[in-house]
Amino acid sequence: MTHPTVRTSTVSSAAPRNARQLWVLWRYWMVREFKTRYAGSVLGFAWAFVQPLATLAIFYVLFGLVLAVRVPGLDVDNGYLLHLLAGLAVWLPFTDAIGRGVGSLAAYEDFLRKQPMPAEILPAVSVGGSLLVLVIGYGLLLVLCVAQGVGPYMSLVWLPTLVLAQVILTFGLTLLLSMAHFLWRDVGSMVAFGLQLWFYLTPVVYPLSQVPEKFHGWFLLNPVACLVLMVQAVVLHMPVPPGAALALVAWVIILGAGGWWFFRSMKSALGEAL
Amino acid sequence: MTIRFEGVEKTYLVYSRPQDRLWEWIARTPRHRVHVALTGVDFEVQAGETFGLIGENGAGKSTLLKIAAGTIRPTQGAVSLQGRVAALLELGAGFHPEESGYDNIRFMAALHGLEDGAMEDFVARATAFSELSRDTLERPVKTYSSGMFMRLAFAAATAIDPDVLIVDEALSVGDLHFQKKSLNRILELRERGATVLFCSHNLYQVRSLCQRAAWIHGGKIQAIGATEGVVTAYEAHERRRHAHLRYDAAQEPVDVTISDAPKAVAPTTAPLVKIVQLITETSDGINPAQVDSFQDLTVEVEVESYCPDKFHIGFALVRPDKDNVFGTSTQFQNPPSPVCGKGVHRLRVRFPSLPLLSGEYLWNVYVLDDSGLQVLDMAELIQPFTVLNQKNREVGLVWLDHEILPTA
Repeated sequence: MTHPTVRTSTVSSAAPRNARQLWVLWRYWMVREFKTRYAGSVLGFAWAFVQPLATLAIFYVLFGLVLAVRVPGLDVDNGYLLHLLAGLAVWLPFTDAIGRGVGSLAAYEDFLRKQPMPAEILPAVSVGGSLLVLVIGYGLLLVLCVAQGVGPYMSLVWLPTLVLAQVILTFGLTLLLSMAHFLWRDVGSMVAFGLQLWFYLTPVVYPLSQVPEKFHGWFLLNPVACLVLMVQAVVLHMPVPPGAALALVAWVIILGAGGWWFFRSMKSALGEAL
Repeated sequence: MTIRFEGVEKTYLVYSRPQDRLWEWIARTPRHRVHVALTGVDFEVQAGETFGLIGENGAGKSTLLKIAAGTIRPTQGAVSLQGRVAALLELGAGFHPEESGYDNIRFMAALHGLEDGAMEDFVARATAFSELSRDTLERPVKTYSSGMFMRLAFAAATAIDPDVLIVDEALSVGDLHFQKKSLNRILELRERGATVLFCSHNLYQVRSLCQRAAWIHGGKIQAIGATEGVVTAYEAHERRRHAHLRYDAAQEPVDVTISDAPKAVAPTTAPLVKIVQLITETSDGINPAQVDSFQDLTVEVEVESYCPDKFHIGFALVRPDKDNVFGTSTQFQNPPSPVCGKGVHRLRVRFPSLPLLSGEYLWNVYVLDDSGLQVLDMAELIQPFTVLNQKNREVGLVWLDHEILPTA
């Protein structure tokens, strides 16, 4: 009787626990996620580093060396590499979380019906699983910046806020998409395709300055683009279109609150399919 | 540790196509049909009580258990319960095949929010109960046999020392040893004062375990109270229903109520036979509690058939640990002599000189279809009796015919 809980179903979720218990479960689930993700592979944990580095290398060789894309306003030897890395530091964890998270509820459908637990844990684990790539990405970015003599600028104090914004934004969207996929399985296929398109609509492999100025406003409608632009501004002191910061704040609120609201309002459908 | 159901009602929204849910959500116009799974459930399971739920498939038992366990929420009303809850709705749900047995146990502990010392306690208890070796537990669960998997799953599910235990049909799995062990674990938790809410089709189990029971029918509580009365009422209903299904398939069963669930129960094609009772008879009278070795004993199995088909009656003498001492059946006769025809049948078997030695014995009775493969009805571990070997000095289970040869 060390953890007495009183449950009244009309007011609380299916399996209410205190925050510490949720934290324990989330943490443990993360550990399991990492352990099983690379179980049976030779490189094991090293894959967590190989994947982002390989992606970076491919894009760098293709766009930076072969196509020789230059980044106006970033006059260092490897300006394109830094630009690319700033974009990938945002994009890779984002796509990792969404890619894993979208099917998380559907995959555990049976489990949710049999085991009382808060379903929000599942998307939260997907987002948590992407934090490793996030840390690797941002870490590499900062190290390379210093090595190239870019900064460190005072504006870096904003970086933690941006990372937080990224986590909230990603979590909100993962909540939304995982629930939508649970209800309508078309969503998973749409997301797989949509993410590819989305990547090229985000200034990661190309700098925004290569895009005609009249289109810049459109990029504010892309939440990930807002985030990438802000990271590039804060870390590399690249110019951003006006209103990017405001748009990012709006997106964080819309996707964070919207995802949460949608998830809660549809939650009753979980574990109840006849 | 009381479980209180207050006016619990559960309705499901049924969408015939997935897009209907989308249109409904966008246009805010109803596009679903309402299915009432449970309604007007209002009762209390007292602390420390073992409470049984019986009823047909689809009557709403599992829904009620899930609501109690908290995996689904009632549409109306409330459930309140206190203390640690272990829900055995399905064993091994949430186990990861790639992870070792230990890690899966730890995961179950984390599901209960346990960490550090509490988690280690949990792991130690589950490990001990599972009877799996260290080596085994360090292997991924995917390499386990299904029996080992079940042992681990049950061990992990009950290792939190629950105050409230919610058990679905889950227990009818695994080998006999495991079934017995898990049943003992439930009894042990009950001894310690845990409240047990459990659902079973094994009416014998319900009778012997539960103080009170509820019969759920068509989403409503049809009867609630002391186990014997409720189970008897349910059995009577079952008999009526079988007769109806068999002969008036077109006509609705008499007392089907609001839910459309019972309609889903298609008339079964297997013959319908129910065991009524088993009577033993010796010179000391009917159903003696005590029998002497080598006494003349007659056993009579009474069954009631609701169809003209052939079927077999079998019975076995067993010890309390379920070890079979002797079993026979009408099918084992040469030639097999199945029983057939509607009505009450009595199979009488005489043991002119019962060769059992001292001990406790019970009966298992089975009714099987013509092929002898499908069990139509069964009653296990019934009519316990004691055998006393007062006149002879031989020891053991049964008397074996023997002769001591002269020493050379």
